[in-house]
Amino acid sequence: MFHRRRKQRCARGYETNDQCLALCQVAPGQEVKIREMERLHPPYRGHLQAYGLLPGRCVRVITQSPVTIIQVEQMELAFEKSVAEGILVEPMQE
Amino acid sequence: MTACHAVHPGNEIHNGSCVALVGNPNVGKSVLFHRLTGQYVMVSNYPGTTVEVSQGKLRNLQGVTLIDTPGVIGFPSRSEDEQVTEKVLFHSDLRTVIQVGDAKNLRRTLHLTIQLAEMGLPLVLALNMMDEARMRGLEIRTDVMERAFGIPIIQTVATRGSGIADVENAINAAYPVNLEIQYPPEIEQAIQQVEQLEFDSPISKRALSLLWFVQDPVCEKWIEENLPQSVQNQLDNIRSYLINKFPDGIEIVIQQSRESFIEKLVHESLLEAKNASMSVKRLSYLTTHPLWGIPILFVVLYAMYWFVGVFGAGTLVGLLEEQLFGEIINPWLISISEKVIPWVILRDFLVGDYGLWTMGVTYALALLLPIVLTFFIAFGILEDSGYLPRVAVLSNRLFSAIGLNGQAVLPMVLGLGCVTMATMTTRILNRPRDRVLVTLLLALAVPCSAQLGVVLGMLSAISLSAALIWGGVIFLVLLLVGWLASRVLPGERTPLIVELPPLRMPVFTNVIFKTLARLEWYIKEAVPLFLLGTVLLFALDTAHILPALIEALKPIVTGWLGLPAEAASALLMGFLRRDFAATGFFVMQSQGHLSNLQALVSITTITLFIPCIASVFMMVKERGWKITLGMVAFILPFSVLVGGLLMRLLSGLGWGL
Repeated sequence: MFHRRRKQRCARGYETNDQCLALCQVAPGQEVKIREMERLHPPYRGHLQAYGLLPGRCVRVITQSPVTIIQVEQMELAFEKSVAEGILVEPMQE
Repeated sequence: MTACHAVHPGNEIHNGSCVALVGNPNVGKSVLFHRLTGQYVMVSNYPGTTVEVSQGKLRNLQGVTLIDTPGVIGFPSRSEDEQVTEKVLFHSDLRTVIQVGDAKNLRRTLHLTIQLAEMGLPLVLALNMMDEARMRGLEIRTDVMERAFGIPIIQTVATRGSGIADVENAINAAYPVNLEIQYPPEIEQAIQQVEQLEFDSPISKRALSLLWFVQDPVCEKWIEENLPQSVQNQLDNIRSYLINKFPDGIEIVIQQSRESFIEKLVHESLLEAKNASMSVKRLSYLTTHPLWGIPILFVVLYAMYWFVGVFGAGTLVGLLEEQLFGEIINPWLISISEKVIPWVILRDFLVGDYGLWTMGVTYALALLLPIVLTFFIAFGILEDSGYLPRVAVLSNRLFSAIGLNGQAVLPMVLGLGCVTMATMTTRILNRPRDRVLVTLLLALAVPCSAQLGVVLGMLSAISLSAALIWGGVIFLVLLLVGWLASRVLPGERTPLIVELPPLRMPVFTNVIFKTLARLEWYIKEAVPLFLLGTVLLFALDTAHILPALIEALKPIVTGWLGLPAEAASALLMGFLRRDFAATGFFVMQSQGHLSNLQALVSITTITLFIPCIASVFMMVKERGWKITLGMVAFILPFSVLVGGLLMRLLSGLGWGL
């Protein structure tokens, strides 16, 4: 129950379930596909998108602490949890 | 592929006098610049090493200038250094644009390629770091990409010089290309409307309108300055229509069209095999680990302290200053000048207490040079390893306490090398507020390499507790002033978003190159200033003004700070460069004129002093007169205030007795 509540808070108002969760909820080592970034403050969204973080792109989560670090292509990108909260992802289809 | 885009080769020949190197951050533009011109510019393994354009003559093409630009992620430009690059594209008489791209990150590279190819300039793509891409099991079919973009694409490894000759040939052969990707109909329509307007544009109207739609600052400024009001109004109308049409942002729509173009292209031209060198990844992971990252950071800092403070400021300075200069060269010169020079005043000018040689040259070459040299070497290794951005991740929480994010650690750590250079590097920060804040903290509380070496030398002569007190005071000041300033300055904190470059073994020759380039700069800039300061002191001393000045400063130096009266002359040197003042204190300490408490108070005060004249000029250039004057007016009394308070606190506690 507690875990669920934490999940909800992390997702910043997104409806989350097994098929769709915020990037800050993804366990390290997992690969996910970006689904939506609409809740991000536009300048940060633009910044990430310029790095190639766009809906449809696959990323791998490397760690979640002290900040979220993900791998896009061969590049590692680090950002704060407040940013990761605004990115909605879905698990990769095998 | 032909359905969604078109390529129109133009046939006009560009006879411009410049070639520009453009690319994402940290892809090796500066290395390629070095290869193509033979001129060295600073190269490191982190984004944002180049924040200004450098120019050089191309080796194999008479009369053509090559421009090295700061890295851009894409347009619209988001920070000041990106705008510098975009202005080159808008305002220079360009013959060819060479995009340098990271072969490992093809999608990201191609995002920029699209934008450059849309501009209708002659374009060449150098896919750099092919060695690293191959090591990661990537194989790239450049022929497929060449057909899609209509531009020459060359695989290079700039650090080893492979592919350079092909790039040189391609510069001459390149012709303008107009890539047209299919955007959603509303945007296409808007582009057509712009294309029908009557005006001349430095880049293709298609690219110009796309930049205009996404509110690119450089493009907006160009339009405001160069187009008649009537055209501007029409452009405004077209854009507002689009903004209404796409409430979620036009940028994302444009990005997505580009993304799907890239996805198709990458699918056809990139072969990925899954494997990676695990040991480097493991280390990379550990350096940002919340638990293991901290001890690693301390090991790195301690290694630096040992190399610069103990080896540089201790062993090397001992060899040079005490033995070579103190026992051999200077006594010899003094005895010669006593025989040869009959005039006392000239003799004093050269080899007296404030002599040009005995103080100026000896301090500059025997004391500061070895310290600066060891620091530059240590720092060059650190830069090239790619470790610094990881420190940004580790220190993010700390910086968030003072209203910044971890990215501010980069200019701050660079400030440990040279505050003047670091002030320029604040351009990599995205917001003006962050830039002002970091500039203030740099000027106030970050000691530069020359000073740091001297300070470390003095501290190691007192005790470890002195080093801890000094570090603690500087750290507290940093936090306190940062915290206060971030409350006063308007604007919100920006969260950390930073790219972590791969950890690499530093290349020996690059570290040496870089050290030599920095040393040359140090000798050109600092040494003449040091000599000038010595001459000024000598003049003041001979004219008997110095004693009067020292007398005038006595209430502050002796009364408030509790230092001996002669410390005033060292403090005066601090107005030129604070490391000169530190050097003065260093000499006083080694001659036994300063007690441990006095030594600690003097270095704490001088660490918080104005860095140097050059850094003040740089602050004026980057932040303007008003802000600079305000900072100087704050820093001078504040540093003295802290020094005096520390003295009273420590003597009250009975420290150093």
